[in-house]
Amino acid sequence: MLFNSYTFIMFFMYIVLVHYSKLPWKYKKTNLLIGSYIFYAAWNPPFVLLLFSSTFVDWHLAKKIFLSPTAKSRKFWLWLSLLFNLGLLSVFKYSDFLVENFESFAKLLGFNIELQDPGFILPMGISFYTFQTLSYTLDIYFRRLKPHHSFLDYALFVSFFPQLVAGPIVRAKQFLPQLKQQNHIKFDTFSIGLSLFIIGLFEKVVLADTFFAPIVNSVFVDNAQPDALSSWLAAFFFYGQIFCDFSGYSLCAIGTALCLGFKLPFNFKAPFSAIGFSDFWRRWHISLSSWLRDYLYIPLGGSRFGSFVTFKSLMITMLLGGLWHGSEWTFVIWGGLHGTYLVVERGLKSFSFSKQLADIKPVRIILMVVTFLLVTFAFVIFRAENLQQALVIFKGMAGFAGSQNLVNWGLWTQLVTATFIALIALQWIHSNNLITDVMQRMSTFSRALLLSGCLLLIAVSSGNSDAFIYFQF
Amino acid sequence: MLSSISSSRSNTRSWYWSWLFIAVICVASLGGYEFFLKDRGFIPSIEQNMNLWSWYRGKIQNKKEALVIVGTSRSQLDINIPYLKKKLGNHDVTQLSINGRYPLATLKAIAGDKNFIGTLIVSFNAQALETRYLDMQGEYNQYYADQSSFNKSFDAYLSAFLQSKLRFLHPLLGIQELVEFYDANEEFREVYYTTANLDQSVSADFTRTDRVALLSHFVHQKEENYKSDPPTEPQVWEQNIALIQAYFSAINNRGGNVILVRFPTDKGHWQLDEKFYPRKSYWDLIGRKSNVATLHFNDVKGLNKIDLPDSSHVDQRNTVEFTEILFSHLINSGYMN
Repeated sequence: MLFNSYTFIMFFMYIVLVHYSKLPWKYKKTNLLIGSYIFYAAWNPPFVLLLFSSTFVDWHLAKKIFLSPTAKSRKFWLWLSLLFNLGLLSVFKYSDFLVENFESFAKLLGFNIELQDPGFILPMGISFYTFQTLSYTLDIYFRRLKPHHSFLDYALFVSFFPQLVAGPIVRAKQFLPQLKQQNHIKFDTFSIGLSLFIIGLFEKVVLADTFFAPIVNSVFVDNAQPDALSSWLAAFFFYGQIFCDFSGYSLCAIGTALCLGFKLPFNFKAPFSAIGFSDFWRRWHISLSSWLRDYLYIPLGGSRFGSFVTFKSLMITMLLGGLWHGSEWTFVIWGGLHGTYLVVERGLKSFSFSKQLADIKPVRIILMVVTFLLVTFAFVIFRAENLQQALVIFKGMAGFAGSQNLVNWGLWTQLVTATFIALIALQWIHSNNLITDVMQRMSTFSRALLLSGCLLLIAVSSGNSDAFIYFQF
Repeated sequence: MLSSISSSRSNTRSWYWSWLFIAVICVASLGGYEFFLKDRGFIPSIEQNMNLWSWYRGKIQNKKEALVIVGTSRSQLDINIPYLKKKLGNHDVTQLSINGRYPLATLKAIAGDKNFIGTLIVSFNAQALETRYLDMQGEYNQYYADQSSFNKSFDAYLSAFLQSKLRFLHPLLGIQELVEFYDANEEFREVYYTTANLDQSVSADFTRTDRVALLSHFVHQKEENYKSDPPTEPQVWEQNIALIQAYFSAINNRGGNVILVRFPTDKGHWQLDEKFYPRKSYWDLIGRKSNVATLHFNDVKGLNKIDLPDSSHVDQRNTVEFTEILFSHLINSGYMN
């Protein structure tokens, strides 16, 4: 079920109705759990079995880890959990990729092996809920958490519909305590939740799908030879599109959860205003970057064992982070590029003058622009169907490619460009503010104007109601 | 996590006012815009897509009383669905025609659907049986079989329902379309002469367009089509009759009924049809060789007298008359009840 659909609105109205009724809390939680499974089943009903098995297995393995008397048996159960979860991901998400690359590798060695294409359907949101259940077993292994007493609560934590298919990736210790008892939901809280949902929907329907996507899609096509203007616009607007698409989904998720009295972590914090790449990853897909930091980067050694281990940990984390996004080499290269950015940044920061330089305002502005441009370059690879296409766009950006003017510089493109610039300016101005704080500080009328504007533009935007980009991950 | 959300009496009051303002601004703006569009002559129109088609496609199974119309724009524009529903009270009428795509793929899919036991009206002509045109509606049928779901189809129906009521949801009035139209013409978009209805039929009001230019465009386009895509050898073409015979038999054998109808063309268009696919060599051959009822518009009194402003489609004012003549003939001939 998509947030930008009428069926979701009907579904959510039913959920809210039950949630605000006088029913006991346990029934309401059961209703949320059933609702979450219906939400997931709306995409492809048989796959709820996969969601349930992932929940069920990790629930029991986490208990086993906790009750194990020896370190060896704890490790055994943890490995079993890792094997199960990563196995699911490998089978459903990476089997085609593995088969394809195995065949290519065998060919390199002179063997002509042709394996049958497994052809599995990628279950929606598998990367998200797998990471969520994994964080539970890992937290118990690292003794940060004790197994939860209620399977119902745990199952709801894994499947809670607002964040089920595209995050934010929530940790057990953030969510499970909220299930203890129902919080009284104040009108202000509900209002902010609803506002976040409207703004998220505006980002998705108006900005991502109607403004940015058509221009991006007209340039990222097979056999195109875009000129410099088309290439630059497509590169910038894809950064805009993916931000609005994913941040829009996150805001809808956070907003719907808040309407039901649950607080989810923010996933984006003005990433266009990032100064440097460590800052970018503190602002972009925060729930994934913090997951990778806590469960991959730090266990790999983090920054505790000198430069070499730090650089190695960074590169491995970012390469795997790239691969998490999809079974294509373009995603791995995108991750590798960000790993390289982070390593270079670390290296530069080790010089004593760097700190003094970074405190000078004009230097900070230059760094912000450089970060923005380098992130844009990396997103070209992320968006491209293959490396050849990315290369064509890069050549176009450098002025070396073809002469196809794929974007008409008319009033519409000018309007989209102005919107993109306004988006950047807004993020630079509010680089340290959360949207909830901004909403609360606004006057009654300006808040009404903002939300009315969003609703009116949603109503008159006839962009295709595409699925959210991050569903495919 | 979210930073704290302060809650005080003044805050709550402020939110109440905000929502009240939002309601007033939205209702006033959208209401005003709706009246503005109405004043300019706009009529609500829906966006036709594969999810909506799948919604209707899923409704034709296990019903003896199902009457399904498949074809292209002619069957979409010429048949008046509300009138037909009223006329045939005992039938559950579904419009599955798709603009610009010959319906052989849908005929094949319905023949393969063991749950279809109703009556199928196929808007058919000789060119549709050319091998290169057999799969034109394949995409829709593939989507229905592999990707459609109740959720997606129902959502498409809800969306179409709202579009059929509200002008500002018209597919041609999206913000991008409006800005681009203004940029090119320096005026607000004009009313388009066709309107897509919730039942997937289309109504054409030819008084809203330049009829002469449209007629010339249609005939010229058809001529170019025949020249660039000439008929294959009649012997090769004839082989495909066996293909559709199998489809007809599959439907007939389980109690269903298929009727092939040659919808009218006129004003130069018909002459082109006759030049490239003479009725005697093609249509009549289908009639002789196929095991289902066939009906040519020239054989029905009155049907060939209805004006076709663009040479191929009936104006919305005449669709009731067209539907009445066609279906009365089908019933009186015993082709359907």
